[in-house]
Amino acid sequence: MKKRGMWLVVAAVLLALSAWLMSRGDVEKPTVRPPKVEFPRHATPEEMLRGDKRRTLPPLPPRDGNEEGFRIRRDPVLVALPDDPKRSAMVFEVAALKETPIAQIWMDCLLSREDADRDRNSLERFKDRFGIDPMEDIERVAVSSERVVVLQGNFDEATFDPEIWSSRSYGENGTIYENRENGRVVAMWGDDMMIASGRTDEAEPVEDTIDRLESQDPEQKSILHDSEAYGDIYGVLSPDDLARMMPSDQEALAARVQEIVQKVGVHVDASEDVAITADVEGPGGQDLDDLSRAFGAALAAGRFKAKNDGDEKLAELLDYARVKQPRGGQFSLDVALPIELMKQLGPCRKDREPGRALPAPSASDGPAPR
Amino acid sequence: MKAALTVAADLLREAASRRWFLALGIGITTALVVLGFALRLEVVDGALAATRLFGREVRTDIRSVEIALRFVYRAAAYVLFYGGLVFGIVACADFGPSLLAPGRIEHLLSLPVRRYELLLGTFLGVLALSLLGAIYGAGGFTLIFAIKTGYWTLRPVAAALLASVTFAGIYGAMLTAAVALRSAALSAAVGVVLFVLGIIAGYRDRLDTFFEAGWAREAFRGFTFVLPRVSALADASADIAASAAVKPEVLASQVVGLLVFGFAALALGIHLFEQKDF
Repeated sequence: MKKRGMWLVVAAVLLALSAWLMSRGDVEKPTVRPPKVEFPRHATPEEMLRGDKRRTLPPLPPRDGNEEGFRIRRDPVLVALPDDPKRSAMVFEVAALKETPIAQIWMDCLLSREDADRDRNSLERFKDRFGIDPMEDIERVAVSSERVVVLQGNFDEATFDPEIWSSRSYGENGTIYENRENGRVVAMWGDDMMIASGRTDEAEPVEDTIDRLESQDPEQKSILHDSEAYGDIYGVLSPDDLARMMPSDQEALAARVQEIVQKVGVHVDASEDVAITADVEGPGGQDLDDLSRAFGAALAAGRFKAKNDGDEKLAELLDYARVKQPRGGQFSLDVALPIELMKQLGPCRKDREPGRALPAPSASDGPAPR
Repeated sequence: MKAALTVAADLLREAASRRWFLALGIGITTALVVLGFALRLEVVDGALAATRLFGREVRTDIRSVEIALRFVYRAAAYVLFYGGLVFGIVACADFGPSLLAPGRIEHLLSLPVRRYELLLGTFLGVLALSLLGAIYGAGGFTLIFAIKTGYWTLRPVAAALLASVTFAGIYGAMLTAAVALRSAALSAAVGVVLFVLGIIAGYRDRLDTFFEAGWAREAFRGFTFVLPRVSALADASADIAASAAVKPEVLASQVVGLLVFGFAALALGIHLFEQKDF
């Protein structure tokens, strides 16, 4: 009888043991799935609403009196950007970027460092001198490779010391300020736009920008269309700039880019992980097919090399890189930077020298003190 | 133990003569041969540049072949896991009842074999059968992709072995049901019920929120606590095939837990078997 009951006891003990062993995986899963990254392919409803609110410039007049059609208002920042297709332009949604998880993690990290007081004081000094709080007053920044920077935000408090800055009116709504000490040229246009020239002693880029903003030429075009203004960072890269950004060991690919590519639209979403999409436009056909494959091969080779060299971070980063097959004269290149990886690459990365601060803004770099 | 292994070997011989397993062998082989001839993969410098199936281009992203195959292996792991379990439940349901068939069981009991060795041998035989099927199917699949792409990995085979372990857990309960009622249909029914409940148990931490806090939730948690986590292991199998990072101690705990569940059910079966008169 004892022997007969033994198997029942064994069954009960084993069942209890198995339940305990299996329950260990209920909360903590046995595998760690890589994060699923959503790439920015179109504007979200919030971004469409944001775009609607930003269209404050009146529509351009019709080409002739008989032309019909639906006309919408325009986004002044997009209009302000140079429309030369051989140039690059990027827009940084500063207000949105500030709220992203990675920005908050990096900010927390910066402010908890030993030299955080120095960074904080620099920002305070900047605010006292120029009347602009870079953390609060700037909504977005647009940068063009034609050496002009356009800022949009709340600049009611911005002031220019007449002892340092000479001023003159330009156009209907513009005022241009020139720094007598360092030759910097800055302009205010309307209530919420500031334009800075990237060249000292040259007001021409700023004047051109104001001209574009006030132009009523029906043929006027913008390098960035309203429908392309989505993501936390967006813009257009010229083929030349893209070729320049490529590593030195990819010279042949860079040459093909300059030869074939017409335009590269870039969109970055940092709402969770940082997802980057580049839409490469070209003439279509076999050339573009071959170029897309060459990009895919370059990414795969880079990943393989990174793994072989023991560069796990780069290899992991390239895990998410892919090229979408060409369709309609365009192919997309997707690259993702998972937030866990970004934490390690930010200002508090482990290999960073302790106590090394970011360069503080100089007083002469922007508007002068009040 | 030697007697149990002899019983297991007999079961393998018996399986080889069954149409179910002949069909399985032919099915897997045909699928592998068709895949081998119909699939064309163009790999450029380690990137999967183009895919053609039966001569038609399949639109895929251009990316590192290692990364592209992760998606293929993940999908294959799920198919092998769930497909293998369902096939195993249906095809192996008859082994227990045929062991206990009148005439055969009396003959077996007249041999110098202990009762528990008979059941253990049957259990081990089915486990070996599922391992062979998994290795053949997953190994062939992986080999074809390795030859076509130059990327070699054993992960899909490891993932398929996880399916075999899961089936062993379920089969322990099926064999016990067969001992209790000597019915292939009931044995299969127990397997199917355990399979479905195991899928639910694998997500018990997420599903318990559907129950109101209190006795209903506790009853659900208590009931699913002892069940094999089939879906959790299916997910782990797919993740392993897709090169996701593994927490070895947690995975080992789950795998061992499932095997122990199978042996617990088997011990109950042995208890019932010991009490039966033939």
